[in-house]
Amino acid sequence: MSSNKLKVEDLSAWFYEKQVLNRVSLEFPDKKVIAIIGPSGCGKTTFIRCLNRMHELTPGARVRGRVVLDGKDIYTEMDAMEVRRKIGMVFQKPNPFPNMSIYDNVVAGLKLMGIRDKALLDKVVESKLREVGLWDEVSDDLRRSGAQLSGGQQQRLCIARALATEPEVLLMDEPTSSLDPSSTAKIESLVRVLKNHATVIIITHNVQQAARVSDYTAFLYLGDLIEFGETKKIFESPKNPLTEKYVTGRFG
Amino acid sequence: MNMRRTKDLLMKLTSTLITLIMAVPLLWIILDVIIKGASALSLDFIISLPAPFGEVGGGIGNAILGTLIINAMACVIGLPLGIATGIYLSEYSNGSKISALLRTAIDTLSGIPSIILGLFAFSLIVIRVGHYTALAAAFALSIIMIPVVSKATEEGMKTVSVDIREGAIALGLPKWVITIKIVLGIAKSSVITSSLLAFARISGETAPLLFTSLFSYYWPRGLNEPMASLQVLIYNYAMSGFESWVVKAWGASLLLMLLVLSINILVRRFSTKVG
Amino acid sequence: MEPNMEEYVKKINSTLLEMTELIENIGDYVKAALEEKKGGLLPLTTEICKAAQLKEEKVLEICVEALIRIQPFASDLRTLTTSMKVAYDISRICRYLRNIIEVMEEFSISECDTDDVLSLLKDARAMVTSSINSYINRDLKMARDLIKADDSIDQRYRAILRKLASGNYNGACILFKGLTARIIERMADHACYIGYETNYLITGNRVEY
Repeated sequence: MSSNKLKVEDLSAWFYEKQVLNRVSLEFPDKKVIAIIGPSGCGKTTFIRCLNRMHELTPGARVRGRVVLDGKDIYTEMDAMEVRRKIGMVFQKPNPFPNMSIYDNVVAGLKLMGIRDKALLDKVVESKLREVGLWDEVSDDLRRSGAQLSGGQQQRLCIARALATEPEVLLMDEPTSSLDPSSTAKIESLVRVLKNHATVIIITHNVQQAARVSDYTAFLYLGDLIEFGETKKIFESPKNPLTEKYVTGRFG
Repeated sequence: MNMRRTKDLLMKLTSTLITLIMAVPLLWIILDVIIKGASALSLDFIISLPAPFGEVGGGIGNAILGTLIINAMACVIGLPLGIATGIYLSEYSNGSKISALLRTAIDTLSGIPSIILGLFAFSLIVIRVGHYTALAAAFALSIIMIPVVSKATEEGMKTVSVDIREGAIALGLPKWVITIKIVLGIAKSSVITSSLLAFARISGETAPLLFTSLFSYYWPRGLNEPMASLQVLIYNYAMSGFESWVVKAWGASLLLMLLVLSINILVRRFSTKVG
Repeated sequence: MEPNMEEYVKKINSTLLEMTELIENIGDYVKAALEEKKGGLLPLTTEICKAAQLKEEKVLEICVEALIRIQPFASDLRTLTTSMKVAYDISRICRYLRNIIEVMEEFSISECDTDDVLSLLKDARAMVTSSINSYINRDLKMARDLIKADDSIDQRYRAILRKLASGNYNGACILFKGLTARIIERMADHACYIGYETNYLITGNRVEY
């Protein structure tokens, strides 16, 4: 299946003895937005952290199964850092580097990997900041510290930073959970644009948000993938009673 | 209600009073040193060699230069070691046995009286090379710097949150780049502050120098030679009993005090600017 | 008050039941009119259908409010979208019944035999009742049975037409009976649509018509 960018086969994950993901298999289509939903503690975050090999950094973490990016197993055929450059990530809390300017934050991934070409860096900064809709707000002073921006601006800066290395997949872990409604709306419309360049996998605890932004939705519960399908289908007529209970807000 | 207000007021008054009492010795020392030392100060005092015994005039230029050279050498040895130890403890040790050992060693090191460090440098270097040498002094002082800098570096780096680190990891950067360019970059202010404080601290140490660089009445000729320093000069001149030397000792004290005070002011300005 | 899906469903269902009562009434009038071949019921039945239409609008209003406040998904979403269609269907059924009275006013029917249309009406009304019950009680089997029953209504409707075409009737009777049977057949179709909505509400899948 050439249209599937990222394939997860039989993926299980543990923290010490506790299993948090149970043989999840899933194929992410290319250039689509996929929402991962489920109650807290269902393994959403662990799941996407397995997709860019961040899970293995946690003490006691273990993974079994395969994650295949364009035909290559990211665990056996790729180096962890190469994986993370191809599969970018945006976090729950905006985390710009506080010691760097807005400019340096955007190109941190390039500059710190030794790219010094000023003209190229300038171009990347402008194009990525434009892409996340931050250019007009910050272009007057790119030397300002990224930490001085508002929460919503910081999160868009972090998205620009993740995009600067041109990832093919972008993981977003509840990217709007700490933001106000208008910043949330901006990020959501940004997500819909991002899929022109990359496969976007977004965790959200807000089912309405999943319905608004995604093309496909996966529902995880207690480490199991309960249901995966087109978002319209999942939200109109889910097959599994657990999904039904979750999306209608009748869970626990 | 009223009772509580009275208590509050009483508390405020007492603490203000105690603070003022605490400030008295400091101001006293500063004033005393300024009054007694200011008369010695002149350009000649700062740039010339001590006058031969029995002659009037002369300066302490060689001691000023000596202190700066010894401190600089101590920094060259002590700062990289201190920073590297801090980086290791914060980023690479992962709570291993070695790190526990290292941490105990550093805590102990910071508690060792400086005179013992001087003796250590004496037995290790001075006896081996057969003469007093500024290198041994720098070595002894650098050992004083290491715990100060390594602890501040470790703590500064540890305050960098997991969020920031994960942001860097997710960009696919290698660990050493993240450690140096991002984590150390964020901890930069505590590293610089502690380095300045360590510098101020060794500027006041006399005991280690007595066993190592000792003193010289000439301009420094090489690093592996005995070398004059402000600290030892003050010690020698103040104890000499000669009126003109005692005045020079006050003058040297004033210079040393100004050096330490200005470093402290620098540290304060630096940490408020960054913090 | 916190928006609560159960509360909205209760309000919707009670309004749908009020509409059902209205079409039961109008159905009784139509039945009596056909049996006794008497006229003069048009103003009354028009009033009833107006009331039914107001109730249909009330259901729409409740559903829109619930959509805005709850932004529901899955069965909750399907409950609201199907309720809107069911309300429309019931209101449409009401107007079909009124149409029969209209047709009766148009032609002189004292000479016509109404037994077969009466029996067709009886079965169609039973279908309507069970379709609404299947919807309100979420009864999949009842819904599927009534969808099947629609075939027999269609057959009997065609039989009536064939009989009218071949028999010896006067023109007014042919027109009256043909139109009435046609209206009843359409009414049964709407009962059937309600059955389809029940099926979709419960299974999440739409069946092909």
